[in-house]
Amino acid sequence: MTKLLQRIEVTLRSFYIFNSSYGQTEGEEYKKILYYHPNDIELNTKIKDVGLSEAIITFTRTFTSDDDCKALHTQKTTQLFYQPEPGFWLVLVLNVPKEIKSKDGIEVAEYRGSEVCDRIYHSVLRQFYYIYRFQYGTLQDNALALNGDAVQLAKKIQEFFDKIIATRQQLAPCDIIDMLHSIQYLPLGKALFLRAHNFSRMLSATFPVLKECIMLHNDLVVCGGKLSSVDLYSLHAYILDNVLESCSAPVLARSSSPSGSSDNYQKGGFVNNVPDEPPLKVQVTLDADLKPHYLLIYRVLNVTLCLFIDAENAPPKHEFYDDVHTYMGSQLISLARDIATEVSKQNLAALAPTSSNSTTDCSPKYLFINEQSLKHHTNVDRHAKGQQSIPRNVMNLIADLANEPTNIDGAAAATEELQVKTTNDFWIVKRRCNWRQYYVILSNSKATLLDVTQEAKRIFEQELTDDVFFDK
Amino acid sequence: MVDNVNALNYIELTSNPIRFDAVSQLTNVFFDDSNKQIFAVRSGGATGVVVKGPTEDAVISFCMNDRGGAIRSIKFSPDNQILAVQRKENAVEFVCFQGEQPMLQDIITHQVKTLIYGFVWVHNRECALISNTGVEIFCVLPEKRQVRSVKALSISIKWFAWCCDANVALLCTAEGNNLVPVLVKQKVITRLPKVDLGNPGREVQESKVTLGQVYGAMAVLILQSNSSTGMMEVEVHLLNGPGLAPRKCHVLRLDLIGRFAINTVDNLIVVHHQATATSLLFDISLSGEVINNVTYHAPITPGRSIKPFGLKLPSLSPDGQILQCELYSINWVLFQPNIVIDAKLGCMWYLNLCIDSLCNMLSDRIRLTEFLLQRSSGKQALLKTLRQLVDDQYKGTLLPVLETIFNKINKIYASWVHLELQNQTAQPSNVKSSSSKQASPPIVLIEQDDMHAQIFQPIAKRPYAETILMLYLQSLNKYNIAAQEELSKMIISELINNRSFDTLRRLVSYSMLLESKSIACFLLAHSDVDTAISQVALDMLSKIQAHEIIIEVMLGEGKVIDALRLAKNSMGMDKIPARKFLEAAHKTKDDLIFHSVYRFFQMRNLRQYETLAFPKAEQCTEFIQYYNSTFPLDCTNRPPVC
Repeated sequence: MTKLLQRIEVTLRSFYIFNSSYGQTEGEEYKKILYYHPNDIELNTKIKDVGLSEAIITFTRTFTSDDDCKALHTQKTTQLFYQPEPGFWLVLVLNVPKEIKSKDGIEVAEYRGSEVCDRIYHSVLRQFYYIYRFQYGTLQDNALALNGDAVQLAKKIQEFFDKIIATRQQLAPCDIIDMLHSIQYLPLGKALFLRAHNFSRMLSATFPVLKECIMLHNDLVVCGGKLSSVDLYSLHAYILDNVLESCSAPVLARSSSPSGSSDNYQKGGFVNNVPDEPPLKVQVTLDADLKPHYLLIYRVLNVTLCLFIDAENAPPKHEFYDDVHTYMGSQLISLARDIATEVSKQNLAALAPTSSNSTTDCSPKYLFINEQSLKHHTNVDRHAKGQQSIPRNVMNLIADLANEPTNIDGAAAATEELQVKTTNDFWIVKRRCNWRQYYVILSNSKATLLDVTQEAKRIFEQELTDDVFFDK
Repeated sequence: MVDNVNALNYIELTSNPIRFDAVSQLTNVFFDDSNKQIFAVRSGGATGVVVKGPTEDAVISFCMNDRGGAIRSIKFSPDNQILAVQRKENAVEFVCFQGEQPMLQDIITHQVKTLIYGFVWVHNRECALISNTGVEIFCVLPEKRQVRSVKALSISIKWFAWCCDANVALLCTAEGNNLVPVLVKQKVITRLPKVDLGNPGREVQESKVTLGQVYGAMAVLILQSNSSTGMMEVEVHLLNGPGLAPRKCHVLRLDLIGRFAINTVDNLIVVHHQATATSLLFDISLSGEVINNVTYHAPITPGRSIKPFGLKLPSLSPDGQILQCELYSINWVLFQPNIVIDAKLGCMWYLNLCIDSLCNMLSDRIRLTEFLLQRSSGKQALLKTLRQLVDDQYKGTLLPVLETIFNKINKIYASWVHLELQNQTAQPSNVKSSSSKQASPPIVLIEQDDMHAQIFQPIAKRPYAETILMLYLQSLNKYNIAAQEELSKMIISELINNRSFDTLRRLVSYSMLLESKSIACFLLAHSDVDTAISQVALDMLSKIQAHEIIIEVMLGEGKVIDALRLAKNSMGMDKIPARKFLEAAHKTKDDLIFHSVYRFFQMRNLRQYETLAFPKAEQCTEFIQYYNSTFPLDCTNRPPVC
């Protein structure tokens, strides 16, 4: 007689960064460790952990190429390895979910290591790195700038990752969408889109020092300019964590009321505009190279405008802020108002049909991804309270089925269609064509292969008008 | 005057004036503004009448008797077949013509009891007499040598003015000094509502009134001095109200005093000021200060003189002699709409606009655009101005100006596009298709092909070309005009050039570019630049259901199975060409693919021809051989799966 007493979800055990080429001499091994979380454990343990990871990496190298070592599963933990730059390794160690059961009166812990999807957490790890790189540049460049002073570098890294780890403690709800690093665009009518686009272009044309201009509405991108999707994702994450958060008010959901957050920016103004202090520097690829740029953030109502200036120029003067503000202030306010009006109209329209037939948990779910633009379209509610709409094993399965969006080079992958039935009676239908992946998730224990095919076809036809991925 | 030679002038006299015998003791000169004919009458007609106009080479010359009494007025009927001559204040003579010669024996004299102020031809055989008691239309019957009254309007008149373009006579009534416009047409006289002069006791002199046509509406222009400043103004009453009722719509502020004369050129009102020898230009379609529904206009630019005119005198020496004509001379007589006659010199000119120099004078590019969009010769000038703006004058700060200009151009373009569309859709159902008149295009119509060829093409591949094109596209979209092929292609190449794939993707998903096979193939041709382009190209192909091209693309990429699946769904089983797919499958050098494709067609054969074998017509022999040699067991042992 077994009884489930408690379930503990995935937790972060440790996260560390090291570079084996530092601290080669014996007794200086601690220099290899550039960062270790949690910090309050014995140095020896840290050195031991890093040493173990080094050993595993070196061992696997015997069989595979240099950075093919991706994950290590033990009974209680899952370790993920990521080498973003030669020599620098990021390691994420997770405690796997644990179920404590009572078996004949004795408490037994059962570890559910298979519930941890490597690919999802691997991309979480990758995201850590990209966010770091976005703000500080590559580790290599950092090390060079500090003349290889590992202690200084470690200090810098620690400063950054302590913050990141603090905000990302909750690892459990990570899912396929975290993995995709997808970017959500604001669905605008073509007239408004063109207006927003041309506004950004005109601003850059008027102030030639502005290299790029990205517009966001709440947490959605209005126009992304020429920023690569990786940079755009990092920028998006930065804005979400630092700018929108700091202005209180939850703006995660599109439907959230624009209260509080935008009050301070009724008339528009620069965020973090401290006179006589150079603005934030970020590393983005604008002209083929990853280069530092000043990032100026301007907010008005719900619109956030990110302006990039090549950091080779002198930091912008106070007058520059004033000039830009005077030039675009009123235009942007009216644009922001029009966008807000259209968005609220869309929300009303979207709410109307769903309220009539409430979507139950067993209704079909879908997820469409454009590998090129990293845009997704889904009805999977990620932040649903209480019971998850889609079980973890299905999520993990999709994550395993999903093709890495970053691996786009050359011709399109072959068209494919897959149907998978899970042990808990879920069906997953995957289609892939023209750099797009489509997933339909059905829950029906009695369905036959034919039923599933037809149901999937119906959803594809309903949601994919013209067989083209529309940016909904 | 000579000093002004190098100055910029916005108005000029036609280079080839109509020459006629100058006024002298023997010669009298008359002008008929209806037919635009100038009559040089020597010795009362006895020694000859030379009629010239409207061009230099349209000449009629004849002799007629001097029947006593100086000629007061002389006018041909529209077909030049009857000449009306007024010698007495109460009689008009009609001289019938045979060819270009008068039949002097058949002169019809029409005598009335009233005081004739003048007469106008309203039809080849109908002439309206305006006298102190009213307006009367007479029909001239040459064969009966008779004049018959057709229609009459009784009204006591002080003076009248005639606008030949609108067929409207403006009568100043003896009682109350009202200005009453009267529409005089063949057999019809229509009295229109009177001009509202504001003050009931106000008396308007004949010399202060000019009639003209501006933007399709008849205009009564009245010169008067401003009550507070004393400066002269022109009141513009347009006959565009209900039932052609005149409304005071505009006031032109001259800010000068003295003698003025008014012309209209290309829908502009030109006010000549003799004292300063300048002409002021007014465009009532431009915006001005609006007070009580009346728009107050200032001149478009400060007043400037008419371009000096050198008249080449007939001379024996080859270089000739040039006479600098005196402009704004006291011998000048102006007629509507744009005729200048110097009777002493014997010259008749038309006034024309110098569009190019106006472009340089109007520094406000948006106002210049509004101005040029209304000028008959504005298209090339506007295109030239725009070309300068996007080329050597380009600055980032000019983009808002360009945006406004694009909107102004496209507003007119859109109205034309939609009108054409309406005509096309209305045509078949319309029974009286013959009567549906073809709408005339706008004065200046700049279509996207003009923009593409003359504005955008010259700046192709410049870094800012994309920005300008996107602005233009936004403007087109604002007025619901779809981008056509050339423009779409150019936008695509600029976006690709700047690697703005995200924008390209969104434009295609919004269907803002033309969706056609040729555009999609254009995209495909650039798919080596970035995979994003091939995705967009395939999207477009699938939007327009160009499956056959997608199949070709897939076959080219070696995705034979995908292509076959699409072919099956789009073409239908029986139309798929087996040879093509087998050939592509063979090229992949993947036996699994070849096997699958081959089996697929075998099954098709079975369904269609009830045999596994391929029909001869499909020319698949080499693939059958290849299949048999690669899979020897397969074809002999296994029964067909069915």
